[in-house]
Amino acid sequence: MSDLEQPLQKLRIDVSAFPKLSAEEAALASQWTTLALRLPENLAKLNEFLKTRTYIVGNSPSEADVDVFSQTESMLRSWSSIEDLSRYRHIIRWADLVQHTLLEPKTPFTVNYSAEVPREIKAKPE
Amino acid sequence: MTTLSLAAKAPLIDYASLVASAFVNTGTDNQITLDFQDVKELEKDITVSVSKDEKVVASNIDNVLNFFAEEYPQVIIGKEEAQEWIKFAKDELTVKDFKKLSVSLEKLESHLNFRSFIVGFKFSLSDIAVWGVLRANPLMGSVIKNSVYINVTRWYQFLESDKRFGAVVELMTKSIAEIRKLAKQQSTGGKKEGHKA
Repeated sequence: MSDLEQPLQKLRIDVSAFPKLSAEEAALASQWTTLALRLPENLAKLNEFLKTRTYIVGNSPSEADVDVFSQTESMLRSWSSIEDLSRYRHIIRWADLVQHTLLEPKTPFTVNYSAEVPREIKAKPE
Repeated sequence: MTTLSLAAKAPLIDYASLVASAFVNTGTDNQITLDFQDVKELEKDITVSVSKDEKVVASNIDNVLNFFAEEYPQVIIGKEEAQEWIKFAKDELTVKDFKKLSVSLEKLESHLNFRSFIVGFKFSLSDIAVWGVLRANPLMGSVIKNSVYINVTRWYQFLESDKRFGAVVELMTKSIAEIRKLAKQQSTGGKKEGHKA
C-alpha cells in the first residue's frame, strides 16, 4: 500500500496545450528527461539546475516538468530531515509547483513551507 | 473609461499599479488607459491614481492595487492574502539603506525557500505588489545582478520574463524618454529636428 504503487498521476492539463519549445529548449528538455532516469545520482545536479529556474525549460511549464517529476516522486516523499530539505530545496519547490499546477495527485506530497533551512550563499566563482 | 495616472519623476515609481493594469489589459475585455506624467507627484503626496470617467476613484499604491483587485478579481487574485505583503512592500522594501533592505530581503528569501510564488501557485496581487516595489528600488539592480539572494533572484527574474511585468516597465521607460525628448524640443524652440525611429 505504498505511494509508489499508485498508478502514475493523472495529467491535469492537455499536454498539447504546452507552448512549443525552441530547438534549444527541446534539447534541454530531453537532456533532463534522460538525466532524470538516473536519479538519485543526478539529484544534486537537478537541484542546482532548478536553483535559478522556476520550470525545467524556459519560463513556462512543459512536458519535461511532468517527466522529471514522475522520476523524483518517490524520493520527494522520503525527504523529511532538515538536511534533506536544505539539500534538495529547489527540487522540492519546483515539484510542489508541478504537482499543484500540472497534475492531479490523489495524495500530494506535503511541503513544510516554514521549515527552517539555513540560508544559501551563492558559491564564489572558482 | 478607466485611466491609470503615474508620476514618472516620483522617487519610487509605482510599477506595481502599472503591472496590475497590464493584467487587466491582457486578461479582460477592459482597457485601462495609461497616463504617464513627467512630474514628481500628481497632487500633493499622490504619485499614482486611478480615475473612472474623469473622477479619481483610488490613489496611492495600496488603494490603487486594492481597487484593481476588487474590480477585476478574475485576473488580480488573492486580495486578502496580499494585504500583509502590500504593507511589507511599502514599509520595508522602499528603503534605500542597504543594511535595512537586506534584513527584509532575508525574510523574502526564506519565504521563497519552498515557494515559486509569494502566495499559492500562480501570479497574485502579492507578487505584483512586492515585485513592483522592488523594481523601483535602485538598490535592486546590483542585488539581482549578483544573485545575493538566490530565491529572490529566481522569483524576480521569472516575473520579469512575463510581459505583464518586464515589458510593461520597459514600455513606461520608453514613453517617458519620448515625453522628455518632446519637452526638450519644445523648450529649445523646436530648432533641433527630432528624428523618429
